[in-house]
Amino acid sequence: MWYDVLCEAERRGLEKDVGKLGALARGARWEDLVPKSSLERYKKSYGSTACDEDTEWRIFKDVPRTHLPEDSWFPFVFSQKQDTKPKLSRLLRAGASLFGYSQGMNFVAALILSEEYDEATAFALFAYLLQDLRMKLLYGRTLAAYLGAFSVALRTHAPEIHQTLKRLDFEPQLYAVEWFSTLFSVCLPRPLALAALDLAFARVTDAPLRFAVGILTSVPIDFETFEDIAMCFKKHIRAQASHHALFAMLDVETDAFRELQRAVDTPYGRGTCVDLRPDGFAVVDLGWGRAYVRRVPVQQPTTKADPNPLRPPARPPGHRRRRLSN
Amino acid sequence: MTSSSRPFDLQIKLLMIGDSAVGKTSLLLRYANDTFSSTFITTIGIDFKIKTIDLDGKRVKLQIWDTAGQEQFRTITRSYFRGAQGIVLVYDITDRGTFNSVRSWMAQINDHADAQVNRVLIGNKADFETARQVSTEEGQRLADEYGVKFFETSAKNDVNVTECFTTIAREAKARIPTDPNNNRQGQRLNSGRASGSKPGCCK
Repeated sequence: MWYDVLCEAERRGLEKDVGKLGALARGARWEDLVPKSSLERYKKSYGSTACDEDTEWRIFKDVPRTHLPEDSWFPFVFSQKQDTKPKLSRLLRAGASLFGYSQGMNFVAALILSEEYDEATAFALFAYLLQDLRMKLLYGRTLAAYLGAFSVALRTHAPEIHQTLKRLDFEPQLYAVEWFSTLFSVCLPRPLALAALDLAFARVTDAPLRFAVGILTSVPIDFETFEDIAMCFKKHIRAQASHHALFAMLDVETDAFRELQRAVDTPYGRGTCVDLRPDGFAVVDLGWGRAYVRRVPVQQPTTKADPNPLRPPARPPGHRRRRLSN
Repeated sequence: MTSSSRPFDLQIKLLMIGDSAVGKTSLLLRYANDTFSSTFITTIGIDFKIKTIDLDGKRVKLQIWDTAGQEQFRTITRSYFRGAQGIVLVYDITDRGTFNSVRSWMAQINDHADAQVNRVLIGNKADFETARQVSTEEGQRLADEYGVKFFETSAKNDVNVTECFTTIAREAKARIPTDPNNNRQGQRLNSGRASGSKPGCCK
């Protein structure tokens, strides 16, 4: 499969992707894509499972609920290997001591464990994915920014689908939270869920975001009402998603939304940019509300780069430049 | 004819909130599908269920939004409050922490939901009496303080589940005009578009 995707990337002249997909096409496993020093460092640190009581409690609650009832792989792992739950629990606790714990991580860790790695290697891969490959940004407050980036990517690369979903009031926070928080492990058939992790380990730029757009552009979206799509979307995606999503994602350029996910200072506090509006305003999520800040175009590196391209300009007389809303 | 194309007089959007693992999904699946499993999957983001009921001579379609309870999703969950006409706030009687969070959830409702939204307070897992940490009286007192109805439920044993959903639906119905032209309008993050000609695929 990866060989075909690589050929397609070569045909389209996608140099950045070709190098990264090449390793996958040659059959590299996840551990082959991780620098040995990082792998060893995380393996050695495994065993430090100290995390606070609240986190411990959340992991305790989530581990028994980490399974996919309609899929065959996790029940198998659970039923055949009774040590899986303690393994998953230890792995999540060790991860929490490095980058915290959020719901969704349990499914990512379970997917890695299901590939039959020894516990320390599974942890090293999990930690490398979250920490070094920065997938931890898919959790907590930055998730909202990622959803914003996804929305812009969809609007840019699949305007018809974006418009259809908008018309149905089916916004990304109604479906893509699960996609990103679990790195697709809950919403897709196992081969595609593993492919999403392949892309991340191969350092394909913005892999989750591009893959999400790829899924939507490769699956027919022909619902007519909010109710129809809300009730059927998850099953529809699980049934219809295929490897075509991997080809479709190649079309997605991420440069158009590089401003998104940035931390931005506003007069109301620091937040993250979650949307770029056509009227020239950036939408900044502050955690307790949203600020609308006029955008300054990103400076090309002719001179010193502007460290904060979203810095508000001087307020023109009489112009209401920023406003807040919830 | 699927449930989405069946005629109805009124559509009500209900939202289920509360801390993680208090049994929101279990309550909903007991109510909507009459099923229970001790191995439900964690809700990530949101799930939806539809149930159409006869209520005081009217056909009422309940569009029920089941949300994730964990703190990390709160920023996103807030947007789900928009257009909700009834809110089912759930805590776990065997976990005092989830009861202590009720005030915080009520504050969220005040901040982000419509001012007139109806609310009901639920203490779930009432079948697990030996592990009880919150008394019925405490739950009732808190509900009285907020002026909302209170139920202790068991999704496992199907105790009071239908009653709590019927109560919140009845309260919302009493407040909402029954003119179908008013109530079948779509709203942002949706309180319910009318069902179109295309039948639903998986009701």
